[in-house]
Amino acid sequence: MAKRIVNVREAAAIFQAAGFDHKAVIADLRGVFPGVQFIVATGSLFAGYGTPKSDIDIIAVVDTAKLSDLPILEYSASGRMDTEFYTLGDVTAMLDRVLEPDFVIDQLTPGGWRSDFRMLRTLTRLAHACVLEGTPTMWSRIAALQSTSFYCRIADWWTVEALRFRTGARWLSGSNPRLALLRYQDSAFAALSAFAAARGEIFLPRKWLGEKLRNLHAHAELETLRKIMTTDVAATDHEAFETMEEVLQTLLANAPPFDLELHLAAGVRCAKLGGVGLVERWGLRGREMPGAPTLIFDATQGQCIWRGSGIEARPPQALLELFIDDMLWLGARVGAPLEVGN
Amino acid sequence: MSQVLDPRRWVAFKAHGAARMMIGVQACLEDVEGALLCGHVEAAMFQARSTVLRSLSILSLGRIEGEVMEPTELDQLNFNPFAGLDSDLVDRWLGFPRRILFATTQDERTAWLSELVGLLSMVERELAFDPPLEVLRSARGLSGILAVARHWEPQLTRFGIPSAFPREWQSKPNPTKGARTR
Repeated sequence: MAKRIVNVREAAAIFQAAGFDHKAVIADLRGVFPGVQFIVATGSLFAGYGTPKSDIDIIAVVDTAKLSDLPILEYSASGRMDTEFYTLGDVTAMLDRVLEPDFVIDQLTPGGWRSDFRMLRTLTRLAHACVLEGTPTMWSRIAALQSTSFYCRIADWWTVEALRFRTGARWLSGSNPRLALLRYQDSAFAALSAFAAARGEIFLPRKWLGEKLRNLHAHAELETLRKIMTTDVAATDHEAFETMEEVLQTLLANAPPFDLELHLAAGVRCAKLGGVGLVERWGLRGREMPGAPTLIFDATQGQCIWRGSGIEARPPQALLELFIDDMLWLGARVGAPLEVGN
Repeated sequence: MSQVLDPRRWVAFKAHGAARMMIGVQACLEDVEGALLCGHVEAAMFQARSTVLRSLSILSLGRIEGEVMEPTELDQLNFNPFAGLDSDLVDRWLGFPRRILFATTQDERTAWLSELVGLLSMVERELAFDPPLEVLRSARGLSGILAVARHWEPQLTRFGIPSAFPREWQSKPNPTKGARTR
């Protein structure tokens, strides 16, 4: 079921409550960029969850080659408005890419994860946006984001995140139980976000998860969310871990098989110094590794240094220790093996 | 005047601490206040959790174990926001956010929020900026963050430490990145 989009009259009221005039905003943008193609209002207020403290977010799509990326902040007596600019080429390319039938979101490599996450964040904001001004072509392209196939894309992304975080939580549990419980919580939040996204609640920020489940009248899932939230992550007792595993066993009961990869985290460098190795991050902290194992010390940024499959997978001890030290990045994917095209 | 034993760590703590406070922590606290106004208790808990973890991560930056690169919130898998911190302090604050779900009166909610504001004050005292950091989402916020950038980014470059500002401010997503195919 498509989520209801705020219409222009309702948007005008939201602007007014925040101390802005939407027509003046459009005129200002047209004055600065006569070639503006598309102006939308978005953010939590337009997705149906905002509060009096929420910003109004404006996305302006401009037919030019390059733009400053710094968001522009504007303030009235009672509200705030952030304006972000995108080029028409960037938005068109994102829409083309995400709606391709064969497109797979990269959650396996750190660079790919970041890039695709930012793309999804922009597109989910556009999907919930109220169009203030735009060409019919662009309007219909944005409307294509209100589709079951796009909802499923977002739900699948969350499911992989839930699997990734559950695996990471298990690996952390022996040495850092507090952090492990936090990541178990994150895994459950992701699994519940997948449930909500599949039903049209695709706005990415997790803080609105309770409101999304309430909108969907998903009482059992809301109860599960509260159970996860009230678990004392500082307690680190056996019962807390059992609770988390039980909840995730249920939430991820239908999750597909998945593969894992470990990569060097950003800023990690390795040096062989005779018979010993140093792994360090940004030169600020490090770990001495006797023997300087080849699979780590010959690795370069972007290269996979370990592969595994399923929730029981576990890397060798040396890699596990580097993971626990936040020197390695864990990626995951579901489905058939992928050919890396970059 | 106090001794600085590790100038690189000190610069990382100050620059990244200021950016995390202005860009992340302040916004989360405002979200908590807004959520409480509207009775969205789960959202209040979520953002209190983020406020606490980000605040602890600033304190952690001052310890030798602290990681300077804070990933985006949804990618914080093995990023440890309390690395190197005293376990009593960590336990106290990790147990804090959930308490809002048990608060039944306005007085309890107000006291809970005051305690959270107290955490921010403690972190600001540790950062010890004089004059204090501006609130980013205020009329003086943009000039405040630009002043932080002007003073501290050259120092980060000088010491080979990554930028304290979000990647989103440095480049847009690259939609033409090589796609994967099944």
